[in-house]
Amino acid sequence: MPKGMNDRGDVLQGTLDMLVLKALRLETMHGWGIADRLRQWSNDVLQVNQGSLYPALYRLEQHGLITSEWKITENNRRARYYSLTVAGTRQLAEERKAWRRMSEAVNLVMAVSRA
Amino acid sequence: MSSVLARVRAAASRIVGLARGGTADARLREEIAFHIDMETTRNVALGLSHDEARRRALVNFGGRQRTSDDARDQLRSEWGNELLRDVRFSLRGMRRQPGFTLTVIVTLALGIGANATMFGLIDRLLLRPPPHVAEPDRLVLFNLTYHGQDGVQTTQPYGMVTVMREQVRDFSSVSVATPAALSRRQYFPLGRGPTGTRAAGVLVSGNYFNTLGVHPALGRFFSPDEETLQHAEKLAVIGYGFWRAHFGGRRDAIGAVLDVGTAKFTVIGVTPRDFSGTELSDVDLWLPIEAADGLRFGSGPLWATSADDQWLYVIARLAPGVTVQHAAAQATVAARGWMAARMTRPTPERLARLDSQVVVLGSILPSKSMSGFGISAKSSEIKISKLLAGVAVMVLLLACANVANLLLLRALQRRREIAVRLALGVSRTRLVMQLLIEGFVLTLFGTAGALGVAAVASGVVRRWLLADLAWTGSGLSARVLAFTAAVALFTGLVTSLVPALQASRPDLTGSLKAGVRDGVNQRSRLRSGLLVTQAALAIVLLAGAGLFTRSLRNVNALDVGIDVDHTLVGQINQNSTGLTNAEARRLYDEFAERARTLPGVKAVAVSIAMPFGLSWSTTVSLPGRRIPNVASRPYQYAVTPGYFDAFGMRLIAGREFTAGDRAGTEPVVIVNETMARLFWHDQSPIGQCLKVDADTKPCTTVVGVVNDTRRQNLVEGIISQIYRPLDQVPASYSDRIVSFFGYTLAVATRGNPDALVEPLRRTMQSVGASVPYANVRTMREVLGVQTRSWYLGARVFSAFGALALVLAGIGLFSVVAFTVGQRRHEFGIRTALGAQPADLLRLTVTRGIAPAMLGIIAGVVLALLGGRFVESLLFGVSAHDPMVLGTASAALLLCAVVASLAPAIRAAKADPTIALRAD
Repeated sequence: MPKGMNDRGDVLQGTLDMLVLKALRLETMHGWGIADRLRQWSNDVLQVNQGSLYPALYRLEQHGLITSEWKITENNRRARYYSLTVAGTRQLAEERKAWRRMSEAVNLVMAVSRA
Repeated sequence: MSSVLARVRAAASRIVGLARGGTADARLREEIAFHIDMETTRNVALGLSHDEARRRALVNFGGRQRTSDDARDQLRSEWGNELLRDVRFSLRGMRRQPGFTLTVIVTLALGIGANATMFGLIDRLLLRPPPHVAEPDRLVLFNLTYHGQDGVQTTQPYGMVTVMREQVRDFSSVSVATPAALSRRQYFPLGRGPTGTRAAGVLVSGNYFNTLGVHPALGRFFSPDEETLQHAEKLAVIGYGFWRAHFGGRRDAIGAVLDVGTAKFTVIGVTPRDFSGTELSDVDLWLPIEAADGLRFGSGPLWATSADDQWLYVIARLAPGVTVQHAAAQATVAARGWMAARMTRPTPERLARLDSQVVVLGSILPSKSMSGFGISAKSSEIKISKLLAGVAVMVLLLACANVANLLLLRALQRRREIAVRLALGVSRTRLVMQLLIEGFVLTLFGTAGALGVAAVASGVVRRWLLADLAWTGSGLSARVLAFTAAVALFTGLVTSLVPALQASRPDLTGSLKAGVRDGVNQRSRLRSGLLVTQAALAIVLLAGAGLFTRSLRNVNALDVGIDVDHTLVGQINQNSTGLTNAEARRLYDEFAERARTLPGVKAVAVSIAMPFGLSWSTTVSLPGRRIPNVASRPYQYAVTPGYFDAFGMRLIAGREFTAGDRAGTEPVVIVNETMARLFWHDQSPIGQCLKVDADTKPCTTVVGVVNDTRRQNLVEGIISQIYRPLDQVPASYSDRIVSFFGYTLAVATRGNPDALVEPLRRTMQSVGASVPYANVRTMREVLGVQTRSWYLGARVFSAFGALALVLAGIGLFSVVAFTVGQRRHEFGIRTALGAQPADLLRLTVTRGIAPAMLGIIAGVVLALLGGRFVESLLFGVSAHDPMVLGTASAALLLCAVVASLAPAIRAAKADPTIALRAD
């Protein structure tokens, strides 16, 4: 494993669920669409590892936060489309709050100058 | 902390539940295929070529763990030459993990190599019929049962042979040969004077080579009539090895003249390479049986008429269509008739006793020879080689367990990669094939190493363990290669099939989700089982090493009554020199005189008979007293003054012999402690009268008592022994004994006797131009024949025990190291939560020690159960010896601690931030 910082960050452990929910808040999407959307939104900084994405989708579905169904894409291919449930919407709000608290805390810490 | 782990595990298992079943798998597979297609399309849109676009899509999918090479190979192998790609893929994988690869290859090389070596040995000893012998299953070996005793007499007088030839129609030919095995073989002096050497020789009948159906490599063999005719010119056939060594393999060896004993022999032929008759030992010279006149028997044609000397193996070829049973019955009738005719005073009882004696016809095939000929000469080699084979198989199992475990770990490590491939639609069969091929590629390299190991090890076995056997062939014969290939195939299958089957059945989502970390954390029963098996096998081998080493030490520490470590004995083959006994005696006195001047020599003596050599018994009586039956026939030794010093014996009472004890002076005798106790009880025997040989003889005065010595065996009952001055033994009596035994020169050394063997031999041979090769041995070497099985056992078990320990150590180390590598993340969390390095250390070391402990318990149980198989081979130590088992356990435990400590220390030093950021 490379040490130190990457110029292309992986999605932080634990935040993937939140990002997926956020992406689905906008519209129903298939797996690749979610990954692509996150990549666009983050200016190519966040590369969602698909090895994590699909397990995350399955987990979220298992927990009833999203649902899925087969649909036909614009290119006439079958794809699994995911959409947010009510519980998912609530969960997203929860996580957003938690994330804000967390990032503020981290920022505060990082802002402390060496005395 | 544990609750965190528990929750992760629970979540995983829930998802596993969802993903199980075909529909979930199919769904995931389709989604991933779709995902990669979309990603490829996107990459093409960004301006990449289609191939590169797809490659990146796959790379991205696999994460940073997977390199682009693998992905490309994987993709292409869908269409191309799959096998070749699989092999290339495996090779690349091997290059990427050199440590893993090397461990596996070395383990396999040792395991397979040990077996190839042992097979080569067993093939030679047990499986292969004697080389170059035609129709070996039609050859039989003549044995005669004893009257009222177990076992069979394997050697016969020549008269028996004549009878068989004349009377048994079921034999198409009957030939004879003298024994060639180490314990019974004869050496003939070659040349005279300081440069004289010796050659291992066998005397054979003229029809010997015809009977065996062997053809010469060069020249010709004896013709059937060359056995009994007196030739102006004596003829010799030489062995292939002797031909190469003495004549450089030149054709002009035919016609060359050899000085053997007192006669000159003309070489007429060379036996084929590897030929060693019906035995296993190398033979330098094949001489016609008439040569026995000068070489084995003193003079006169005794070899043909002597009925008491049982000195010949009888090898007969069955007539066509005759069964062994029929021939044996016919031979029995003939043998009984001959024995009856030989009786000087036949009584009805004696004649009736003959009916209990039966001819047993044995096979010359080694695998069938247990019940027949050569039983005593071969059985120790057979027993040893069977033991070796068993041990080698254990080492192979150990190596297999080790490699299987390593492959299993690697398969677990690659679970995600495998899951991706399955998701991409690679069929399960293909995947198993690929993993099998990886296993086989590793095995192939291991086998190449094994052949190197076998080449070296078989050389060591031949030179150090069984040096006397005929080993002209290469250690890597075609049969050994074939066997090695079979073992390799077996090993490859065993070691890679289990991991392959295990790995190809992952739950897709679980593996993808878990990343590389989880899954390996779960304890695998199979993996632990393999570790336990390894440890148990190692314990058994170590216990064997301990038992044999202790046996050897006990045997060597045994008090045999003489100083085994500082005594040399020198002898010449007197029969072959043509010297009279008186001449020989003068020669030995000269030997003694010169030996005394050698530096490092403490004492020198000449004797007839010696401990662990030939000995003879006599009758004694006490005037006017009855003596205990058990002691009435003491063994006697005729010795010069200094004999007791030369053998490091102790004078208990009285005096030693002096130069004054000559022919004509008062006859004196020295007795051993046992005899003193049995004959005179608490009284001092000094000055008492003992009548030796017959009660009509005059008194012999007891002048001393010496300690008991063993007569011929390391373990034997109490015997009485008497010593007489060599010059006082009447010539009429000693002549026959001397012509049979010869004299012995005994020399006590101050330091290591090995250093004096060559100087003493040179000194003896330089006494005169007529002196033949002098056979100088240390007493340790003389006893070596008896301690050989323990010596071999100790050597072999120690070698294999060490090998097993190393393999078990490698196994534990790699498993613990791997587990630690996989648990870095968990350790990081633990450290972050406040775990101390010591905690992690304990956690990891326990990982390695737990299976080792279980293995030790299992191994000790196995060793206890298997103990009875070796019990008969041990000496002075129980197969259940707690010290040995304890030491073996301690050694393995130590090995386990060391093997787990290194990776554990690395784990303890883990930097939590790095660990947590990884993956």
